[in-house]
Formats: sequence, C-alpha cells, structure tokens
Amino acid sequence: MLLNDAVFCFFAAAALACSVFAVACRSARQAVVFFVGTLLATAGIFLQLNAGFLFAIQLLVFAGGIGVVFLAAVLATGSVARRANSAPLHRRTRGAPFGIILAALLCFAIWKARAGLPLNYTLGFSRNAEVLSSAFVRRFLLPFEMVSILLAVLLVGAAAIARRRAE
Amino acid sequence: MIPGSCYLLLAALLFAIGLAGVLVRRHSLAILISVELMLNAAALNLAAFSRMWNSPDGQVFAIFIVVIAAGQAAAGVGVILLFFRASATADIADMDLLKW
Repeated sequence: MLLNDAVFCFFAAAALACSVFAVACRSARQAVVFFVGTLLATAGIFLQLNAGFLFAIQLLVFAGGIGVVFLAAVLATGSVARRANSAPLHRRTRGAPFGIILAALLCFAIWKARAGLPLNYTLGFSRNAEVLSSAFVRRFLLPFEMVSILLAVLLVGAAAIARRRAE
Repeated sequence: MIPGSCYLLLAALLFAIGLAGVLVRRHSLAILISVELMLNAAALNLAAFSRMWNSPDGQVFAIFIVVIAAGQAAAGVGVILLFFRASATADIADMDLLKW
C-alpha cells in the first residue's frame, strides 16, 4: 500500500502544480502545456483508482483531443494572446480570493464529512471495461445515445461556426 | 491506504483553481482552459465516488463529463476563432457584441 500512497501523492502534487501554472502562466502555449500536464496527472490518479477505462478515455479524448484543439487555437491566435494576458497585477489577482474561499469551504465540508467516506477496493482493474460497457448498454443506454447525438451535433455546429464564409 | 476524502480534497482544490482562473484571466482561451479544469475536477470526484461505493455508475458519469468537455471545447474554440477573425482579438473585454 505504501507504493499506492506514493503514486497518489506524486500525481496529486503534479496535478495541483500544473493546474496552478496553467491558470497563472502568461504565455498561452505554456498554459496549454501545463493544462495537458494536469490532465495526464489526473489520468494517473484514475489508474491509481483502478479505473483503467477512464484512464484510457482521459488520455485519448481529454489530454489528446482537447489538448490538440487548444494548441491549434493558441497557434491561430498567437500574437494577440500575449497582449490579452498582459493585464496589470491587481486585475489578474482580483478573482483569486473567490477561489481561495471556495477551496476553504469545500475542504472544510469534506473534512467534516470524512468519517462517512469509505474507500472500497474490490472493483477490479481487469474487468473495468467489461463492467462499464455492461452499465452503458443496460442501464445507461438512453443517456449514452443522447450524449453521442449531442456530441455529433456539437462537432457539426462547431465546424459550421468556425468555417470561413465565402466572400 | 489513501482515505477517500483525499481524492475529494484534491478535486476541490482543482475546482477552486479552475474557478480562480475563470475569474482572473482575460484571454478567452485561458478561461476555456479553466472551465475544462473544473470539469476535470468533477470527473475526478465521480471516479473517487465510484471507488468508494464500489459501483461503476460514477465512472460512467465521468465518461459523460469527458464527452461533454470535448464538445464544449470544440464549440468554444470555434466561437473564439470566429470572434478572433471578426475583431482580431481574443480578450473577453472586447466581446461586448451582445451587451445590454
């Protein structure tokens, strides 16, 4: 169990550090790189939680797909991004207290409720995809189909929005 | 053994960092990245709940969140690129076309 704890601590520290840099970084490209780092560290925590299928989805869709989309967008808006990020310090730190207050409130609530939070270790890694696919086609078939239609409509809509109009 | 509250604390901190990013940043892509961080924190919470109660439902909803985040990123980036082409800026202070 000691290795398991060390893996969690490593990925948690990496996720927190990368997310702070992703939010605070002035360069948009570096922010995207740190954002992808956060997603990779979270994928590691999913693996540590024995959620192998979610780990694969996180790597392929979140870190891979969304990371590439953001990187392409940053490259397309590159020179302007630097200007937009050069706000004065008091404007950049104005919203930080809200985040700190929310973090304190959530941490307090979780600390108060920690006694009722078990951690069950019987959901196996090897049958993870089998269990999830069974849940998808039996109990979550309608939401699964709705989400797939929503995703298709979103992607077609995004392509229609972003395409260049004929002059 | 890592207690379940540690996962929830980590997710809460990630969510708060994402919220601070939404409030602090002015570049629209940075705000979109912060929203994705918040969605990532929610997915981490659901995966932890799935493990705590030994049920796959949390992981199913976490996958739904990943799919919604992918669609949101595609649509959001499309809107930002359209606005960027129209006004050559990605600063949200300049996005006042629908201002009341």
